[in-house]
Amino acid sequence: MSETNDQITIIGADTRISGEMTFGGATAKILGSCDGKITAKGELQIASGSSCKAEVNAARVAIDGVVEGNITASERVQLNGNAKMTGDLVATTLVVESGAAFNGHVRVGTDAVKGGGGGGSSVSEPKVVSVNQGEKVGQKK
Amino acid sequence: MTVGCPKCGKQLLVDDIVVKTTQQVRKLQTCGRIIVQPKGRVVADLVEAHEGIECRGLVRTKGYLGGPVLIGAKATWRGDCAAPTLSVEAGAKIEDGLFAVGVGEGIEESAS
Repeated sequence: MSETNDQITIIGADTRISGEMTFGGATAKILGSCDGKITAKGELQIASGSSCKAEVNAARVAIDGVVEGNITASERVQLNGNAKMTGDLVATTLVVESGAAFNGHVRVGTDAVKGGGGGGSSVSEPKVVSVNQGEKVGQKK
Repeated sequence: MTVGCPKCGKQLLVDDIVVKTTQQVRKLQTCGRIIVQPKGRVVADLVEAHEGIECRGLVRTKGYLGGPVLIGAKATWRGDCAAPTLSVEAGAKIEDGLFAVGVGEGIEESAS
């Protein structure tokens, strides 16, 4: 479906896909909605305004939209400010930006990915990527 | 420092808590912030900190945080967590906990 190098596979905003999707090493960007299972060897981006009810397996996942389902990332999961996620998450590195909403079981670390769990299977070469920054929200009870 | 709750009269701890060694308690509650230093370990049934928690050591608990949660690069978190924001540094370990981050007023219900 997708090709490697600098190419990006884009699922358009008015597109709805049900079933199983597999992307190669290139970046895949979902602007529409999808149900089922998504596998990506490279980065998977779920854009703002899109929604996925899917089990996701990818190297890197960046979420701006809404995701319901389990995510397994061999490298990194990034929940940006508009992201809303419900489901279990297994990753080597987790980045949660201020404003993101997340509800589910979490396993983070190299051991978590090696051991599998959460939503999926088949992950390889875990690699620590970055450090995130969460902003102080001064919320008191 | 503690102050009395104007409504119920219960004494409330308002200082930050710095954990340098092992703290094995039932409840660790403050209106301030909890800082778990690299050699610190918190093993508790419940942790409540209304200005959040900075974990650089090990925390094993069910945590309700009113402020941001930071899990440091060499830290280990084991257990549930409800908080408005979460920061996880690369290298941190989270060993299977139910997390409710930024879900507003439903935080405590969803994590319990």
